[in-house]
Amino acid sequence: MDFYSLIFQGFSIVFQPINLFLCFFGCLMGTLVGVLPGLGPTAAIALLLPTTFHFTPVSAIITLCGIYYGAMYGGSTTSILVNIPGEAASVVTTLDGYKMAQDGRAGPALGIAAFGSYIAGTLSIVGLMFLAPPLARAALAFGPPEYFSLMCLGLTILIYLASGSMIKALMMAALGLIIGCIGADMLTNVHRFTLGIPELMDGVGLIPLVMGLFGISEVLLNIEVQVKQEILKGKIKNLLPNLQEWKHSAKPILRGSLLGFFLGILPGAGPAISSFVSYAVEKRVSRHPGKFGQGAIEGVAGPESANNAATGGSFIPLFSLGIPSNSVMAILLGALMIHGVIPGPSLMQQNPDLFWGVVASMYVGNIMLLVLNLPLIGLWVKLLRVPYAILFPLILLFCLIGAYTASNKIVDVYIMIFFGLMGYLLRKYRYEAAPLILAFVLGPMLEDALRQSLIISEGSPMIFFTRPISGTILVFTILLLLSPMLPKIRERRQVLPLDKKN
Amino acid sequence: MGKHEGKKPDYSSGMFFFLLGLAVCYFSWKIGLGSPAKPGPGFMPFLAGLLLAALSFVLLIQVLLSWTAPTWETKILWKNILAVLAAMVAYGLLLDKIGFVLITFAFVVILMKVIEPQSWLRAVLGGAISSLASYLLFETLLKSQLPRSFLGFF
Amino acid sequence: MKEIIKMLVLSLLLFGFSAVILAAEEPDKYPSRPVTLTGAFAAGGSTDLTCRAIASVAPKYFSQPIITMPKPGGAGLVALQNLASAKPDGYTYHLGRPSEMSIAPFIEKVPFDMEKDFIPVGQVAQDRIVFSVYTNSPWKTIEELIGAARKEPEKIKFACSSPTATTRLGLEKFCYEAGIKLACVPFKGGTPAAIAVAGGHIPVLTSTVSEALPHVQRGDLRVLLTCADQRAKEYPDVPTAKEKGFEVNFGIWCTVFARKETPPVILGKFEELLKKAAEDKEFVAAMTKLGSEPGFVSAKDFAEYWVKERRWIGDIVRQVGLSKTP
Repeated sequence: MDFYSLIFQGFSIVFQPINLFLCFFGCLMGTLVGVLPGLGPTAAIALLLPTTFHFTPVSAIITLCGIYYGAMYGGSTTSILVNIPGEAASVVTTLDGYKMAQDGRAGPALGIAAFGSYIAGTLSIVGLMFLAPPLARAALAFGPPEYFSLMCLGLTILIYLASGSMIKALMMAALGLIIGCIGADMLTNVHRFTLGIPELMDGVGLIPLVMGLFGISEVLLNIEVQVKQEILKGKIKNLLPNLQEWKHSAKPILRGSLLGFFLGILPGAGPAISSFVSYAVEKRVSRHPGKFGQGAIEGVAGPESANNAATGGSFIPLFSLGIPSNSVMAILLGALMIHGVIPGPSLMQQNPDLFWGVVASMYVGNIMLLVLNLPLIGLWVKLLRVPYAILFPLILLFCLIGAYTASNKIVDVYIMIFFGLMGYLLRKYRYEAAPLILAFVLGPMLEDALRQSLIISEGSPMIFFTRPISGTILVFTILLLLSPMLPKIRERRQVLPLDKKN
Repeated sequence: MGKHEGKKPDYSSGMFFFLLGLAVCYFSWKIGLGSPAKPGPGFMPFLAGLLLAALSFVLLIQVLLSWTAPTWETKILWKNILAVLAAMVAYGLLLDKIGFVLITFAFVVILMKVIEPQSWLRAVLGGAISSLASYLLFETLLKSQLPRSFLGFF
Repeated sequence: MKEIIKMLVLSLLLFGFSAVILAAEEPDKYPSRPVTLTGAFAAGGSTDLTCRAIASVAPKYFSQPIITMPKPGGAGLVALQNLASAKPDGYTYHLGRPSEMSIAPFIEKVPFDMEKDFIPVGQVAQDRIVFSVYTNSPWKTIEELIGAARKEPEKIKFACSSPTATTRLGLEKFCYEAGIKLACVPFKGGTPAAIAVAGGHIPVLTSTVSEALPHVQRGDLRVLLTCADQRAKEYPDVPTAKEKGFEVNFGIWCTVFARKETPPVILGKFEELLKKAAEDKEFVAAMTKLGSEPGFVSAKDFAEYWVKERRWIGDIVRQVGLSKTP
């Protein structure tokens, strides 16, 4: 069967009324859940999985994919409006997105996030269609040493996340590493810093941590000064991005899409990391790195595109190899198996209508989400005008419910409250949370990869350099670290302002 | 080189993190460091703690040498902060005991009255709407299985 | 203030009223309310999907719905604590796996006595363990692997989903029986472990049938041994441990547990349900799709087996050096 007839077949499946409806339903539910802080795509899919049991396999997968995409779109909304990331991938969006909202530019921020997500999502689906098999095999080439080097590279991104004092940003990274170590050690099962609480054996959850450090702390800070006002300080300037903002965002969107797509393919990496990387890249190539952290639209366009592109990329290992690259894919894998579909290279041959139907539904889904989200922008922006005294209990409420329902553990609520207090104090003393989160996410992966590699190499650190992929990444990392020494680059970095936050 | 007037915020936080870093180093060492060829469970946290302590030390030096250390207000409005934190902790504690709808209602009403007092009408209305709306959203639509009170039905 | 007092009094009255109503349960009327079935693993995983499968065929044999409730975390402690603190009235059950019911007590400080606090009600399915190697590795049969391992003890590495996984302990028992020693490289989950071996980074993999399946189909992995009495449908050419004479034919069972104090009459009724569910065509189909092997084992038979299993797990855990951490 040739390519075009396959795509046509795919679209004809999607355009069946039931599938169109289910696609829309999935997107809607996904957006709704994504908007709620704490409930990310994983929770959304897990919660809504039972409702798909009675559908045909194609319909079920279309629904679930819609939920996934919808949740990624929705997550950026709260990041921009109230500085609470909907899930880990949206953390970076808070850095500049929220500032834009405070300046009355919430509309353009939300708009660029929506458009960027749409473009990135579509591009990544194109990539999925054409590049699935060869790229999937490339993902297999990444073993523990390669992951170690990749994580090292990831940590150097820290340098670009800091908008204030570098020393304090690095201190936060160190703290993030420490918090990441809480839990039962992967290799020996020794309990590290768990204070005897059994739930801490699994470590600190990312969701309660992020919601506490960003969301709760934001509320705590605001109730000291702002209760009489609204979040929005000035006038609402426009609802959609203007031409200039489009110009500034064009390249970040393209770069973010590319970056996100490839990073999404790697098992374990995923949307969260790709948004961090995109932010760092944008800051690095920008002529005015100083405006990052103050409301630079590139800081929203890039990461939002990256995390949606990563969504598309993450389907590749699942459909081509039967390997889930993150927890959402793992649940999708379970769903596929329950419906009797074994993903793998045979998937595309044995169930072509499933594969192409899903791919077509992703296109349709992306369009639906764009159409869904744009009109909502006006609604969201109005929300910012609600007096904070009424708004903040609701924000806290949703954080509490979000933390609880994400894992059904009360302990997560307490963890969130604890980090809320900690986040509040950190911001009072002018420390930034973003480097902490990055180190928290990357640290454990780095440590695991390091120890696994050393077992494989029986103690020799040369393994990181002798393997081609790992060696290349490490050399690149070292060059990146040394590059600030070059005079031209040093000049650019002087532009970064000292301690201006809060 | 001047002396630092009063406690600059970076001094307090720097000191705190310095001690924290050392504490982490100590406990990591107790768990077992292993060797560079075979890192033990304490290896990574030890390095992280060391890094934290070292960086805090640099920060402290910066403050004591007093030329780049700015100073700013770090007063904490304890009344509001503690009220909110207490309300949230109480929410967590009582959620399983008195059920979702009741605790949500109480939570919203109390916060609306304590922090920036609204009228009783607004508070109760806000509480009722938010608890019912979120119940519908989470329990009915999303089927999250929220805790019920001893009353059994909600 | 007055309003608060009013609310309190009203609540107390309602509380007392409902307490009276919910007093004792007569066995004849069982079940009169929905039943909860917990699992120690996250939603969407194989344990959760098995719970859901039971719940979806239950209405044919049971007059009340079964509600699945994943309670992951703390190496199963969260789910166990939930079961232990529930009323022993036959409305709360737990779908257990060896990982939290047999292994965890040797590794963590578990505040229960598995024998005294819990009782098995019936096994419904099991996942079989298989040992595979990377397709380009030199060993085509399990004997070749054993031979190579004997020549270089602790040199050949294997990947597993966690240091305390049932699959790992299965492999360690096998190594003990075969008189060899392999080096363990743990991962966080079955998928990363399988990927590492499929990519050729580590030569040997211990996993469940379904974790290895996609890689075997693609030709990246070669299965050498199935730990079972009968050959796996998915791998008809792979010999079993029984055939080769190794005492490693145990699977990762899915068994329902309840609190020991639950009245035996009620437990008997639930066991009946489990037996019918395990033999139900729909359930069998769902399990096969998941890569699990459906099959009912009675409470009595399972209890006997369980005692033996815990004994050798204790031995292996000690040998491998994983026993109770402070």
